[in-house]
Amino acid sequence: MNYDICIIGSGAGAGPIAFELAKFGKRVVVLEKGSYYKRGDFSKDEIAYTRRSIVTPNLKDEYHVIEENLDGQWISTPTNISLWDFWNGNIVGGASNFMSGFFHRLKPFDLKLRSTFGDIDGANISDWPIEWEELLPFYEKVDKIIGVTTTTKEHPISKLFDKTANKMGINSCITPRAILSENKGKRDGCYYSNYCGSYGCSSGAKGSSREALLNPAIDTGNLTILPNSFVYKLDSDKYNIKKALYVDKTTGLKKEIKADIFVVASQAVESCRLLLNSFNNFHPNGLGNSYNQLGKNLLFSGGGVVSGEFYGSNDLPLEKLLVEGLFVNRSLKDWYKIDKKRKGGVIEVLFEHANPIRKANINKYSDDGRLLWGDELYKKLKFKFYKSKRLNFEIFNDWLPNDNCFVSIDKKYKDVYGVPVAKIRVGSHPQNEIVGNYLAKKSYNFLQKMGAKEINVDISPYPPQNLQAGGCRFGNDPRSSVLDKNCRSWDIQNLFVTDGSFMPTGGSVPYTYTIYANSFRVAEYIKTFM
Amino acid sequence: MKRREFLAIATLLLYKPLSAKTNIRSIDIIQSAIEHMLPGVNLREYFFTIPYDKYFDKNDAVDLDKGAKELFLNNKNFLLLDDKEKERALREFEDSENGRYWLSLLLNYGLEAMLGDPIYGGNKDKKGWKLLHHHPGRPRPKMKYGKNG
Repeated sequence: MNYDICIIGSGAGAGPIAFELAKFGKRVVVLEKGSYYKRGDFSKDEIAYTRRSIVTPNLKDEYHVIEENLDGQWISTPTNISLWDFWNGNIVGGASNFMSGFFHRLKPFDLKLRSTFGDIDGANISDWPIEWEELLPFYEKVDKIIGVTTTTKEHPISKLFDKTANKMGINSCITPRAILSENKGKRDGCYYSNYCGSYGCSSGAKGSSREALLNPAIDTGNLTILPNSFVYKLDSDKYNIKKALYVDKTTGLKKEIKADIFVVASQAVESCRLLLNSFNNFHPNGLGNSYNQLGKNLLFSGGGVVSGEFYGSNDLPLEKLLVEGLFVNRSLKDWYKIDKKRKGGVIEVLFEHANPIRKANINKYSDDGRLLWGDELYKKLKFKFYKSKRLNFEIFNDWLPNDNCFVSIDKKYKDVYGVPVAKIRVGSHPQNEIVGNYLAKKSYNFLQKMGAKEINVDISPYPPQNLQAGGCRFGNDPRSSVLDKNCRSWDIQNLFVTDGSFMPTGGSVPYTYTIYANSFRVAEYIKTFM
Repeated sequence: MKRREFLAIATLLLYKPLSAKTNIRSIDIIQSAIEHMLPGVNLREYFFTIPYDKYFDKNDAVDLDKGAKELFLNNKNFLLLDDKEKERALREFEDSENGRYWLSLLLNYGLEAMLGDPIYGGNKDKKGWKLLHHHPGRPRPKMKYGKNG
């Protein structure tokens, strides 16, 4: 059967295309390499979801190679050896199943970093080829269709946060969340399980691609989802992709699918890998790589975490502090722009995740680094579990695009299917850490004023593997970009890339909201010629 | 050899006598150590199904076995030691790199057995959760390892 549109991946970049085009009456097929978890399949099982690889591939079978700079040399280490896992939620709906859903919009100057702040040595900063006003209606569409709220129930600490901000003359911002506070269609409102980030949602409140977009698209009768289908190559001639070649992971059989239009949305690293691996006689360096831009300028997110312990006080008595499940829903944006020359970022405030095994494990050391056990350990754990609570300030600042952060292919390393894996060079621009530390200092002061103890600062140049973008930047010039302003490949007429790969710069907020919005924008464009 | 087979063999090591001269197995050393470190936690029971568990890291099984053997070599009568003597033996073991790694790994799985969902064989009667006043998230799992266990 020949589909109108074939989407590779089923996460945030894929959902809006499937939703819009299925509703538009087109026959859509989604190829997802992972299995199909539905709402009723999820639970708050810490061992399954955070300590074993049940929703990501086994690293022995499928892995990445990470290139790190060690003493001036780029050293490659496969993740099946380092166990530095770069997979994120490989099931239907992708990593959006497991997000926390902090939905901040980019600001207009985020699309004009170069013209606003100028060039930075060692960074490949480039303005976006579209105006913020072109994106705005699609942010609004996300709000409406997926559901972005500021009405989920708040934890008592939010009041203390507001009070502190007020005293310090800082603006306390309410964080928009992709979490429903009330029922919407077939999705139920949040039931405050206390296990949100890293877990699938059991009420459908979380605005995952699966709940908010794929489910209603299935209801049109026009969407086919093929789980356990790992696409390893797109077969093309000079101008068009003809078919997607994939392995049916349940049988091991190789299969293919034909379609008029192909949309790649497998998360930045894997989308680059697929296009690089799809080289042929017409495109010897991979699809859409005429000017060697494919895989370049990969983005993560700069920053880290500052956290502090609360013990209960007059401002916030212990029994209120220990209330579970409710959200903090606060962020600080006063330093989104530091000054005329420097961009800053967002500080997102949330409690440490409730996972008890993890929490016990990070507390198994004494102050001098000895292992704790027996009564000594139990005493400490009791204090950490029911006499105190840790608040995290997560810092998001721009990961500057640079020549040492990119995806390539090294044929030496292949996965269990014989397909070369993605090699990721993870060089961080020094500015990432400088800005991260600037925001860490602000966070530290704030936590101190709030009455927090045992404040920890963790800002690093390491890439957070769950925040990926770039690698197929869009632009106005085919010599310096992979995609045109509609996220269509310059080289291949029927190829679009709609995950975070299109971003030339990422802004300083989590990517999912913008990926959704942009994918809705591209869907609108695709409709104009179908 | 297929991964699953190797995994089974690696983990079965834990259940074989340490030498021809003894009936003591690695799992006995592990249980004796964890009883001291996390009173009330039973790794003998928790590890029971692990030889056939495709999600359990086989390298950890090998390391658990290796460390238990090393501890036994240094303390032939480890199983007979009283609390004070065990504490001394384990702290001494902690001073070596291997020993520290093994003890940390043991705590890692011990805490997992203590605080994971009882469906995995530990945390009997939710004792671990009760001790720390912990409330599990709902829904709790109906089976191990999501839908693919």
